[in-house]
Amino acid sequence: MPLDICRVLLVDDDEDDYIVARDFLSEAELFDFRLTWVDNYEDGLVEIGKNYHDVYLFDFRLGKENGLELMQAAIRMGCTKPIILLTGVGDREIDQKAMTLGASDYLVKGKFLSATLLERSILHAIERKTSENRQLKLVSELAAVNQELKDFAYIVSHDLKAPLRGIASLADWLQSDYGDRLDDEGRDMLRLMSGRVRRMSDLIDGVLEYSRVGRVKENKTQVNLLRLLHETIDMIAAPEGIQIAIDTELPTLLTEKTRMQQIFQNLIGNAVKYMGKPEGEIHIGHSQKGDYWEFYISDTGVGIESRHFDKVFQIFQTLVPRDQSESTGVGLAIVKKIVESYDGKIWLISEIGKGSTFCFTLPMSEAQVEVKES
Amino acid sequence: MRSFDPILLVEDDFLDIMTLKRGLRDIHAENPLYVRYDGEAALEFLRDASNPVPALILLDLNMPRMNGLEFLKILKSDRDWCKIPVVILTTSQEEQDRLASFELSAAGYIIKPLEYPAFVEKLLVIYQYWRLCEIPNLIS
Repeated sequence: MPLDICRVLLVDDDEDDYIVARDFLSEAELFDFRLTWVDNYEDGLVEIGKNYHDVYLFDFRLGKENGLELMQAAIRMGCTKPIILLTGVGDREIDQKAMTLGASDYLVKGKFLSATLLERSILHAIERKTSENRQLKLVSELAAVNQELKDFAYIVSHDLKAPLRGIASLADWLQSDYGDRLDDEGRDMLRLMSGRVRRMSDLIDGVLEYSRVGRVKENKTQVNLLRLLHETIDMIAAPEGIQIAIDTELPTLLTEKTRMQQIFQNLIGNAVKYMGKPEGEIHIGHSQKGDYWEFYISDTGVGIESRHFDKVFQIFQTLVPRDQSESTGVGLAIVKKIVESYDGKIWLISEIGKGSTFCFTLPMSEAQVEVKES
Repeated sequence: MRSFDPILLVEDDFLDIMTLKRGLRDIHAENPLYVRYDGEAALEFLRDASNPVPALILLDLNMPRMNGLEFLKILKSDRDWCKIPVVILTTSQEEQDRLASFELSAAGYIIKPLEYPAFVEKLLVIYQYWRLCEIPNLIS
């Protein structure tokens, strides 16, 4: 099998070094090396500019310039090929500097250098540089996709909602200006139209909200979960027959407040919404398990069949016909996304007719320390 | 703002213009309303000395040619125009737009609600506030 061709550029002002390198490379077993030799900085730059070689070997000593300067110039020119610096014995400081400035490797010339060592160094340098370049490409692609997603979310919030608002207004005006000229069926159609517009708008809000998790980072602050929970419960304003009890002294975490609020608001809100009867109980509490917190929100509501346990966490999935509930099927998907973004887990236990318990964990990482409040 | 001071609406969506006109009618606000469809047209309106100086500007953000934030920036850097209060009326819920608007000295930021009755409620509050508010005498 013919060997892969590998084009090597050697920039070295010493012809003896060139002869050694040439001889070593001719012994190579893994590559068919094609060596180009230039003996000064300027010619080196010209060759690099051609972007023709697969790997560069620079001698540190290059007359009035040196190999490090050549390397930096090459990188400034946008060179993405691996560079190996050749140095003398005892140039440790230069070796270190070369690596921090972006060299793929350094080799000490003289009796320590051998054909196998040179070949192996080139091989590894090429491999490492290839994967480095691939990674850089991936990161920049990711940044581009992320920007697109941001733009998309913006367009959705603007351009989809504006016409929807127009439809809502027109339906409202038809109802108020021409309602008396319509029969019951006509008025009912307008009412259905307004309902669908509202649902569409809620869906858009839900998708936006879902896309914001992970996309928009909030500053972490000390969040007293107990206080947050009281605020959340006030906001939900459950019907009188539904008792909400906090069983334990919830901890204070260093975390994103809005995200925590979204978790509890959705879980408690669901418990209230799916109670299925005028009276019921909701319990919220936590326990410390090893290196994570485990929280629960349990209710005495209608319950969920076990075959739906996974489905409820999927976006746009609801278990009640949409006409009978205000649900968009986004809430639990958001909760799951938030919990998982914190490396936590979420699951549920439920029995039809008896109620459901949603549990989730949050790791007690160093960033989330409990703070005793006075 | 007095009940006869002019209001300038900068808005490109025909239905949103209809909504505001109807809303002003429904809250019995009789101030003359001038409408321009984008930031550039609004600047032309202000530059034209034969037009009255508005006592309040209601500004949409997302518009063709010159958007609301670009318009606001020019308005607030003008020695005279900067005194005119500007209330943003927009669909955008994005934090970046709120931030940019207040950094450019917007006097308020209202997200257009989906339903007309909710819009009228908001409009009434805005209108009553600016009716109460003493504003500087502008050349008119």
